[in-house]
Amino acid sequence: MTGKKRISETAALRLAEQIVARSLPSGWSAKVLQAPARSAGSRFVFLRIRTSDGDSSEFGIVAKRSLNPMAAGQLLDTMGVQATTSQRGTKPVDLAVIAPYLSERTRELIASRGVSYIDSTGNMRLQSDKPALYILTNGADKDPWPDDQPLKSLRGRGAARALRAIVDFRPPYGVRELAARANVSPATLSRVTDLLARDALLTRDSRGRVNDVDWAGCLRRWSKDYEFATSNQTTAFLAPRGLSDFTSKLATVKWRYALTGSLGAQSFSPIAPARLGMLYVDDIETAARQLDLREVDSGTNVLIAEPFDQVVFERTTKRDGLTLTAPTQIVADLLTGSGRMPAEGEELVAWMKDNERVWRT
Amino acid sequence: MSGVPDPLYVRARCALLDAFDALEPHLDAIVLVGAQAVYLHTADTELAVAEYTTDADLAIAPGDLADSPLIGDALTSGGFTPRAHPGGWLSPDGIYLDVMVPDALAGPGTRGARLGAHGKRAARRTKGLEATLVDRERRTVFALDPTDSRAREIWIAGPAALIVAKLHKIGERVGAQDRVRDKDALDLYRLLQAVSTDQLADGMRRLREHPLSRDVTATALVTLRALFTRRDAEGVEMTVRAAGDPENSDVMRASMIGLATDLLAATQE
Repeated sequence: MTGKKRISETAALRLAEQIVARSLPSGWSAKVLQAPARSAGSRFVFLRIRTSDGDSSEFGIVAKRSLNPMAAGQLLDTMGVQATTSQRGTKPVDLAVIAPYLSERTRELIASRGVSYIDSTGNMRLQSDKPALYILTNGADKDPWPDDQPLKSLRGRGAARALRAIVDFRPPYGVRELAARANVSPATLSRVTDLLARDALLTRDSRGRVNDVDWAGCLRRWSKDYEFATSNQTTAFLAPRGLSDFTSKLATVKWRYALTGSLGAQSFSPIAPARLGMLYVDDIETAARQLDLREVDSGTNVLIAEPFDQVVFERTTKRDGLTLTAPTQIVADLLTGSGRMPAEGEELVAWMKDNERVWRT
Repeated sequence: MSGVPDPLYVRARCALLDAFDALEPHLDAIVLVGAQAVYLHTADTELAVAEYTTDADLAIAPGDLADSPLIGDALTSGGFTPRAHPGGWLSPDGIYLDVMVPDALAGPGTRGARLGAHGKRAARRTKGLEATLVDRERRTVFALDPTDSRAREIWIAGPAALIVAKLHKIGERVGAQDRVRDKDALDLYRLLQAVSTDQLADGMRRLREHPLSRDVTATALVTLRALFTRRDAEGVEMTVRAAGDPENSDVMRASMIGLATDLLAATQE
């Protein structure tokens, strides 16, 4: 798959014609036609479907090489205008979007506007009233040409590391400058910045320097792709003497660790006593042995994690003799936790908003 | 538990110091037992239950007791009033004081301990307390009321002895569904959590070697295994009930079983 190049709009149109034709009843036909449009220099592309009785229906086509949800929304806004201006006779033209690949979110968005779509992998929704026609088929749910796409998720350690840099450091900063300060790949940082800008979670000036970051929004966005329990290598244990004994033992260990979750949050803002200890370490086995943790069938109160990235050990704080991971990391870990942890995450966000000077570099 | 102690606990401590004042000539023969002794060993244990107790419990070593002043007279002149059962007293502030003698040293009879000149109503006989005369330590006990400056160096029962005593209380009442006895299971849990298994095992070994405490200790360890080493065992249920913290009950069950099993393994010869 690597190096496979995204197909062109023209190729997508040709494939769409074949995909539609294969789905039609026998005796029906489908053809993509082109005609000069009213505005000079552009052409009007349409798909004509003819029934076995000789009736025909036409879809006004917009072909795109790629289309993300945001661009789809903008496109449909414009097409709404076109739909009224390109009427033939009295009948409004049905519309269809054609592209090599349309993501689920893009497809939903297009369908919600009553517009048809066809992608080259076989995702198709074709609807017209006259002749009555409704076809819905599924193709790929993953883009076969992902390299051509901008970053879509914050999954993965590179993206997570970049996101942590963006929220931990106080803007303004340039991508290169931040990449150097936080030891992040500039390319990844740039792509993560693009993603967050598309989601309107940060703004850039005309020279591309990041000048404002909605760090709380970024952390919430990250928590959709990241999850403490699954993004890290975690094991649940019982600390039979309780969490205060667990933290006093932790205060004496020689190896590297960073406390997160409720135990970390309660050092910053007062919350109800923690029920679950969450801890990053380099080696789970050593930690379990030295902290007298037990593996039990049920009734665990400590989660030990080997982290997705070393960034959890960076920009840590020391409070009450314990090393805490950065509050931004604690927020993400709490937001993706169970029970009352997401609420504790939001409480910590509120504290961080009032105390930005304390935690932001 | 951090913060200000429960007001009831402040009053109970005050009543305890009142009793020591009244019984000053006998202090060497008295060992602090019960919940107030437990909390002196477990001050830092975290539990979602306030650390309070309404009782002040004392064990008497009859062999070390002088003939005068009479316990009854001393307590009465200290403002204590006798309750219906032997050894039961009420402090001037309305706190229960229980004066007890280990069953093995209490002479014949069923309820009141035979204490020679002191009579048979000054103290109650109680099984399991034998251990508290063997495993005990000197501690200074302070008043918890900031306006009360009293402090006394006294004997308090060691953690292993307290576990033996608690297990006897719990064992006697199995099946009773009794909230008061549930609290004894929670006290046991506090001790197991707060004191290292090695220290408890040392204490148990000493108790098993001493003729006075050998039998009650063996019985207590049998009770520990029977009631606290399985998820569905009654003692484990009592602990969870007493804590009244359903969200945390699985962790409590697992912790109780783990710690009880550790102690049993460590006391095996």
